[in-house]
Amino acid sequence: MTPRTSCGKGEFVSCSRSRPVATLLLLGLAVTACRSAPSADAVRLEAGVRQGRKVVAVVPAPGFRINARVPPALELRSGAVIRLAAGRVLPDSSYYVEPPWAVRPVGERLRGVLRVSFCRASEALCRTASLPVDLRE
Amino acid sequence: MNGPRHLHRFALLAALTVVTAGAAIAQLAQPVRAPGTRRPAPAWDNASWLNASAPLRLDQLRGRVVLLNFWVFTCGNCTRTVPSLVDLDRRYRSQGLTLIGIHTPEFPPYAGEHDRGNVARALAEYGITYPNAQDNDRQTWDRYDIRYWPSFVLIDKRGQIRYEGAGEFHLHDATYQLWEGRIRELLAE
Repeated sequence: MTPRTSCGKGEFVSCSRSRPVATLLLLGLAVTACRSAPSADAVRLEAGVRQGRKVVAVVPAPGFRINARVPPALELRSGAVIRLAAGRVLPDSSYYVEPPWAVRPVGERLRGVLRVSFCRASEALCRTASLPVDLRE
Repeated sequence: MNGPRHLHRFALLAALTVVTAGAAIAQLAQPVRAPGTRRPAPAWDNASWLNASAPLRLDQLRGRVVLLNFWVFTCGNCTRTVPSLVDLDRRYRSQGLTLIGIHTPEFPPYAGEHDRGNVARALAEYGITYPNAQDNDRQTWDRYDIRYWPSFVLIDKRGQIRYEGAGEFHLHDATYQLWEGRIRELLAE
């Protein structure tokens, strides 16, 4: 009878029993990680100044593109919706080639949700991200 | 004594994770067969249809192969795939294929994706004549556990989901041929 041991010690046979379980767990974790929308890593909202005015802009991470056919939206708690856009898009108008932006309301703390449709450049599909936003003046 | 062995095991598991993650990402853009065996396709009950005189129901389509395309007109990946879908519809409708667009908005109504007139204009613009359902409440999207635009679900004549996948493809490219082969396979059953 093979003695029961913990993985890493004792008989190899006993260790090999736990490996399929660990492998399955890893497989599950990896697949789950890949299926989740990487929204927090894909885009971020930045405050800045453009032509002397305070603005906010959605900046994609390297390797990500922002859908220009449905411009990003900042849905504020007040109920207002600020759409962000940029003039330069790809020839087929599908993606922005510069960060979309909007003038920031004066004296208002921006609290709400940023909604963005984006695509990883290496993929041929769209996904949507909803990110909490809290930008103070 | 156990240090090198642990390091070796960690490196092995890390490599496995990276390889698995890479494989999963690669699969994302390719049509993949549903894991496991066939499963019954969920019924849908969308009320608003275009290119159809009355709402289509799944149980009415027994005996036909059904290809569902989850899309939205604001998604470039979706609209660039439309010529392939129009082609598949043209070639296989008379042989028993029913292609159905499930138009599912990405954004809330303020973006215009929920508007029936905008969807109708998109159908005309892209030459889509196959039926389309408006899935404004995302019920059908959720029932099929869809996550990406565009996505595809291929249902056999008995109402079983046989193939699922996501991602843009083009006329006669490898992915198009893969989907066409699957359609032909199910039509021949």
